[in-house]
Amino acid sequence: MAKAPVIKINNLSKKFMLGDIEVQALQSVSLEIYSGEFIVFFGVSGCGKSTLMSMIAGLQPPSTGSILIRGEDLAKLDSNELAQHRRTKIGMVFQAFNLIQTMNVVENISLPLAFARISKGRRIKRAENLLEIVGMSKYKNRAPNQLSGGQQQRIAIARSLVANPWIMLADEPTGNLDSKSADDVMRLLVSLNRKSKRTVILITHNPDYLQFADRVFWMQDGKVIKVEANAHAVTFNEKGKSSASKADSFSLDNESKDESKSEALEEPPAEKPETAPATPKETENKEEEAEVKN
Amino acid sequence: MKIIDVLRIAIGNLMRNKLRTFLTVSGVVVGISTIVFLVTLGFGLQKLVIRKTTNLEALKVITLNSKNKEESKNLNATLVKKLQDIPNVDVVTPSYYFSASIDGYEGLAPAIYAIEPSHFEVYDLKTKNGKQFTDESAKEIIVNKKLVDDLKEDQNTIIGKSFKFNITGIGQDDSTKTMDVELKVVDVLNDESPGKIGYSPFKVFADMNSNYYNIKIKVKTQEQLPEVKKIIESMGFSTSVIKNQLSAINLAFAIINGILGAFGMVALFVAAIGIFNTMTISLLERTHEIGVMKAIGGRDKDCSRIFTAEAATIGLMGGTFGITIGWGIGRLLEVIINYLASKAGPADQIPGHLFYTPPIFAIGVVVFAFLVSTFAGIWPARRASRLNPLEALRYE
Repeated sequence: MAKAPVIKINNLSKKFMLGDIEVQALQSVSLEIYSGEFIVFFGVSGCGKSTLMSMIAGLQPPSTGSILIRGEDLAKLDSNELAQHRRTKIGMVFQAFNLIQTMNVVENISLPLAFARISKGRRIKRAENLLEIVGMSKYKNRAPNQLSGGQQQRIAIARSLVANPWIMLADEPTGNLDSKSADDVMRLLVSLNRKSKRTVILITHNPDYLQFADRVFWMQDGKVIKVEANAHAVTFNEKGKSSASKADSFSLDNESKDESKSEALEEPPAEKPETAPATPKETENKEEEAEVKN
Repeated sequence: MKIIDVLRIAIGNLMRNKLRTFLTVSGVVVGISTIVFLVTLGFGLQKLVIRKTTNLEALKVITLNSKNKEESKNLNATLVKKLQDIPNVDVVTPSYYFSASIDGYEGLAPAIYAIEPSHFEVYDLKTKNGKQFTDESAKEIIVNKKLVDDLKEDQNTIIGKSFKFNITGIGQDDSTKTMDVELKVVDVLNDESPGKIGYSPFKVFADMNSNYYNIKIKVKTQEQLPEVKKIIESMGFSTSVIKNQLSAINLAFAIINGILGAFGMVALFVAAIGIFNTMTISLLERTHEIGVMKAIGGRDKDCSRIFTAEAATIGLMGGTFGITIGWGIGRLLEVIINYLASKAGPADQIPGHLFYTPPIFAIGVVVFAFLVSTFAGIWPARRASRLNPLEALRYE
């Protein structure tokens, strides 16, 4: 992978106050993540991995240091641009699913597209597409609380994919799931990475998942203590019996046909202009266009 | 986020909390219907007063008075001719005024106005039986209630009776002139005037050769009145119009309506606090949801707009229902009062419309409810927009 990193983190530190006590959540973290990698941040709770993830998502600013997403410094973005960053480049999956309880499944999945001012018809089409991919089509009008945890997480994954982001951030996505559902979710994440070459960042304290990673960042006390490259990252297919067909069926190419545009499965350098420094000040309208093209 | 999507989410949220939405909207409904009820009553009474004291024809009439003897000399047929040439003047009609005595009624000195029967409507005289003079020079008189009383007659039986009047007036040559004439009562005026008054046809008194008492000018439409009035005044005459009284009535009612409206405002203010309260609670309940929205790409603006839209929707619903209910209560009360009045008294005592809702007021009230509610939602909406997404996500 001899190209520019999709995420470049320089000397990143984060401190915050818990009452009167200053907590050093991250200390001088520097790392690079490349397009199409499956990355695992591994460590016990409180090691700073969730803080790191929220900073990549632009949910909180660094104390010192910088985060560059395809060369664009998040610190230079205002709150609207950060929202756009999360909407178009980042897909987040949480331990607690974080579906909006007052909306049904389709509404939840299509919500990021609503923020992107995409018409209801197109949103629903896209959402239904993703529902098929995560195998939840028949639940499209259910409320989240009518679904099991595993089902909810699959909906959440569909939502994270709806705007076709570059990077998927999954923070303990299986933490609240039984092992069967956890397997389903992991299978989905792995195939997302393998089949559509999407950059996936998984945060976990479960060592079982290290085998899927291209690289593992071991974290402790706010520092990356070890980086482990894994030349033979396991694909889920090898583990599960029925998973092969499922994984095969999962391809974002299907969607790209429906959306009648070339799917940005992987971001070749040619796609870079969209994120080039010249564009951050694009107007809302331009932003929409860009998103529609996506 | 598109406005339509903001509205979808906002209305969805309101629908999911039906009881709370209903109660909050009810607050606005009470406030708005109170304002509507009170103010439309004010408008209605205003119209009623104007209707009962004047008629629309009277609003088109300019009265040209003589301030003194010198001026009165100028009120003559030549002037009438001149006034008729003013554009937009419909009718010009002069009148005489005489003092009189009546044979057989010592000390009774009614005032007699001589008017042109063809322009009877200009004087806005309401007679009991709707009768007018038979012709331009009929020796007839329409008397008012006070005169009937002083004649010791009954308002019904006096009609058709004749009285011998001794008329005194001043001629154009300043000489005092008198005239004896027998006038037949054709109708009784429906007035409350304390003076003893009679109206007779103008031509009966032609021989008196008096100056005119005044000249009434009727313009074609009410809007033209100020312009014509100006022209007449520029000719050096003083005028009076019923409009002056009208603006006094209007001013009085503007004050009354203001006070009534202020009472309603108190209710609406309480409703606004209700909206504020609802939105603040809703904000607390949905803090986590806002965190999620921001995490998946919602802008601060989108979050605040959802809240603003909810508050505005409450206001719009409250305003619309409020005006309907306020209007409905008014109508109901009107029907009841008119029914009771028709049972209790004569037909002309039925008040008719007591409530009046000008369309602009109706629209204004709904807009007002909308604005007040939106205003009440501003603070919660701003808080929603300023929530730290990470803290909001952690909030349970």
